[in-house]
Amino acid sequence: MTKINNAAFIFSLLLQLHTAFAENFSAPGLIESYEKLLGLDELQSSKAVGLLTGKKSPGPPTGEMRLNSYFLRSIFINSETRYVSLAEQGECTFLSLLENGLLKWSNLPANSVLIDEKKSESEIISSIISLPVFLQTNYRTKCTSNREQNELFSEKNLTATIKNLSLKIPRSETECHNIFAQWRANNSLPHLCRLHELIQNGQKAEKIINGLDEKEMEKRRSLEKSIREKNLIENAVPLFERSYISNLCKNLNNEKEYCETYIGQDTWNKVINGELPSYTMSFLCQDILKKSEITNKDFILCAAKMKNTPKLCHAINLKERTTLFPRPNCQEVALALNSGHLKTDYRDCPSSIDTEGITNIFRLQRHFAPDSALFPNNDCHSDPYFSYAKMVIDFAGDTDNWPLKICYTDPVLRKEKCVAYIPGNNLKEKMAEGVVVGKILERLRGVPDKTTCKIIDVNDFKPSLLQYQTGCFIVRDTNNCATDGCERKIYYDKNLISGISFRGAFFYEYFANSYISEKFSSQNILAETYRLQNKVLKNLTELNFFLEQNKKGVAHAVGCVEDLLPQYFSRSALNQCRPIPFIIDGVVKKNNNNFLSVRSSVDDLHLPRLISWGFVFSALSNYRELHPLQKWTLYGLK
Amino acid sequence: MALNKTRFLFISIIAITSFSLKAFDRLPILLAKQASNNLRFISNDGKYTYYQRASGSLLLSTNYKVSEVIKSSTGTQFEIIASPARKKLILSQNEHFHHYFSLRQELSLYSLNFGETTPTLVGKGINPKLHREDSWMTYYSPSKRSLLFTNLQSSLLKFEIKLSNKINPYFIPEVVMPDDDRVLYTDLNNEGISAVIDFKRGTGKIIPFLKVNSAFQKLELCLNEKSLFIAQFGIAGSALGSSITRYPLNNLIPQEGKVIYQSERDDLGHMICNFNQEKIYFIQNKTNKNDKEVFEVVAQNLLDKTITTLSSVQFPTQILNMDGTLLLQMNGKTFILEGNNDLVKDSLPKKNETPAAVPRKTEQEDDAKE
Repeated sequence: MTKINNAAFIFSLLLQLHTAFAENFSAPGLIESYEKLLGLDELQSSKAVGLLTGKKSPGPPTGEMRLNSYFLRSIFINSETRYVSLAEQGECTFLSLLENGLLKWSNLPANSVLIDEKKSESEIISSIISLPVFLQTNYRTKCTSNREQNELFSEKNLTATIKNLSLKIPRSETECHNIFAQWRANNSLPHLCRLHELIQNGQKAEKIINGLDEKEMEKRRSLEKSIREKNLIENAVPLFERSYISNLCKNLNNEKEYCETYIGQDTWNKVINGELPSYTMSFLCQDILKKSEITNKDFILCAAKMKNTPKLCHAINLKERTTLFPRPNCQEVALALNSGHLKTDYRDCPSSIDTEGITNIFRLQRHFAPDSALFPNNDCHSDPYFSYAKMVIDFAGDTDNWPLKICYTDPVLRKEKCVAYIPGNNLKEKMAEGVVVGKILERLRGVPDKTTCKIIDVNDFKPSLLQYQTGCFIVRDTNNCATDGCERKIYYDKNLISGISFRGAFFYEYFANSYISEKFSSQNILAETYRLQNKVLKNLTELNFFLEQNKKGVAHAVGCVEDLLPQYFSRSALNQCRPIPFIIDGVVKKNNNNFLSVRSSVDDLHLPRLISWGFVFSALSNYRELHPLQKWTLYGLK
Repeated sequence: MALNKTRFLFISIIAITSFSLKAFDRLPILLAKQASNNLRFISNDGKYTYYQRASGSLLLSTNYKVSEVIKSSTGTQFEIIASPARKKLILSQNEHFHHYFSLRQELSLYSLNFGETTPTLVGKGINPKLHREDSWMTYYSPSKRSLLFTNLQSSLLKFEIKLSNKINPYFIPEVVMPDDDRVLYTDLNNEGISAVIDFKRGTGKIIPFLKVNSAFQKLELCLNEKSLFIAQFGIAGSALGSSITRYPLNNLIPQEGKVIYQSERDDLGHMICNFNQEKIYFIQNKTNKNDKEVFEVVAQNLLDKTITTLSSVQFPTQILNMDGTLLLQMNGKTFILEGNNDLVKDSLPKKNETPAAVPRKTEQEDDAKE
């Protein structure tokens, strides 16, 4: 029955349109340009309106009425296709679209419509009436649900109405098709799209208002109203719901686009559908949405944000977690993540690690370790040092050759004593810097047993504050750092402690620099610890083959940063090279280019870059020239 | 049929191989008496060659004699920076090159007279540069986030400019000194947007000279005898395009800037403006939309604005001006793009010919020689 009614409504609309077109012009729109059609609309509707000037209907129409055919055509020409397409759902939807301001027309104000009223069998009178009167007259006899919807979407009920909406997330193509069809038939849709439009208008107004001349008071008032409306909706409708409604309303006439957001084969959808691990996206979304717990709804919202604003990725957590800047955009990140498979179920903070090799080794350790729980989860500054130190000391079997020592003169033995330590704040570890200093203070000053010292940045250390009045602090002067670490001062109960010195530097051989030292290179220790195979990868074919064949394998390398990231770093001297370790975990073929998914050790772990093989090759070749063994430093680990 | 296929494949392989070889063949390789990976600096006339040994020494070879400049630990990496003034050299020394990878590691920086062997320690930092006829040296300290200036004639004359960048810990500022009182340098604001800052030593005033619109744009500065060039290059896949603006030194104000180059593509940059006063050199992005990525070294003639492509290598990463020889280092080789490629002479300058007075060869001379 409804279908028959809808068909009858559409037929009557078409008939009216045909009458309007046939009167003076030949089939415009079918073969003529849109511009001509617009011109035609302007001419015809202004003519019709002109004839009616001063003939405003004195009251509600009493006879049978319908919208004037010229006016109707104006609506079809001036309105957005997606909303016009929704009108085919039936007369009630059409009226609701009119009511929610989603249909547009020319030559008449937004709250007036042009109608034809049948006074008698032979007399049809055209007149202009106000839109509310037109709607009221219609609602007296039909579309009662429209009135109910108005009530539901009123300001006082908006929050509750939105809460009760069922926003289903499709999981398959068929499901998406059904959900989309259900939405198009849903009589609350015009109201939802009105919310979407009001938000959009408010956002546009926010951009315009700042540059507006102070004299343009009227325009300013109108913009301020739009912003107020937007804020009102944003307070009542949560972010996920807004994003869902936005995707729906933007794609009312494009089911494919609508579904793409939920079931497309891009990286973000793969995460949402469980094809890729959730950590691929969860850390990025925590930063983007500023939430610590990310739900499936949040993933969808976050994915939409990253797709709509690719530049979002460069600015997330800009001050809290500094890395090489600018970071790649979300589009590039998505492509790189889609091809890669490095395990990234944690956070790190490369810029707080003095030497890039430790960051890279830590990332490899986390990738190959059988259990993430093996790693301390203290802070991103300490974890890489501890993990690396533990691996090296376990491999060596003792701390004799460990380079970092804290030295003091033993008051009993009257000779210098040095104790191995690991930098960082992990106070559970007996070799931790703060624990070792605490033990030394026990010996030197007789401080209470189990005293530990907290490492703190000089810029954060404020001795006048109560929290720094008692206890032990190792104050790290980040303005005065060298290869052997930053200058440190020890304070115990506000008093500066002397007689304790930090010696040694965190030196390591990433790849062996000589045949003798091969056993103790980080690469070898890593391979032995995690029982991995090292395979030198001489060219792109070998790299590609290795990554394709070993779904858990990754490649790691050391190359000159000037060649790897030439947009960021310059070379100003012959054979200048600043070696940087990096990880490659995927190859992306795009526009006849072979891009590698690269995480340099100064980049954010969750934001890999796409770098052409040509640049990677140059970085490796130039570093090989300077390497003591002329070593090709690209290895696959599996 | 199979034979034809094989023949086609064989011909294709030869064609591809010869094409790629030809591309590199067009550029002469830097040849010297020492292994190219040990070379650190060769003067334009080939008379002064600084090179290092794996044992950790830096040596100067001149007039068939070898003298030690500095002795360091095994594996030390040296770099030598010069300027067109040819009065001083800067020597940077990294003792931990092979066992401590750190982009922010501050290296020992020395100054020494051009062609001589006695270095003087100036300070610790990265990215050293010479300015004002080699009377000033600048370097950057990542730990202090400061640009440090030292006068090489009187080391007591020093000053420091603290950067405001808190966004990018790996940022290295560009710096030029158009006159003794004025410094222009690059910095980043809290949103990571680059700007050129104008610092007047006399007043200590800092005013912005130029600011880009997006954090996805980098700035490069280059100074020659007559002009300052400021380049803006889009980075990180921004597609913001590139431009180079020229400012006359005799009236160095932002309003006097004239755009001399513009492109819709994000070039790699690394602009050089002091190799030839009539040309600027940089690495241009030649990638067509949806096509294979291609970058090449180009020279733009400042008089007729024509752009000449100097390489055919697809992925050049860096270019540098080594005392009047324009070099391209890539794939483990050093190619000569322009300038003298006969750098194997080792004899001393003629009588009354000081190192600073050694004339630089013009292109015409080179052409004539060819």
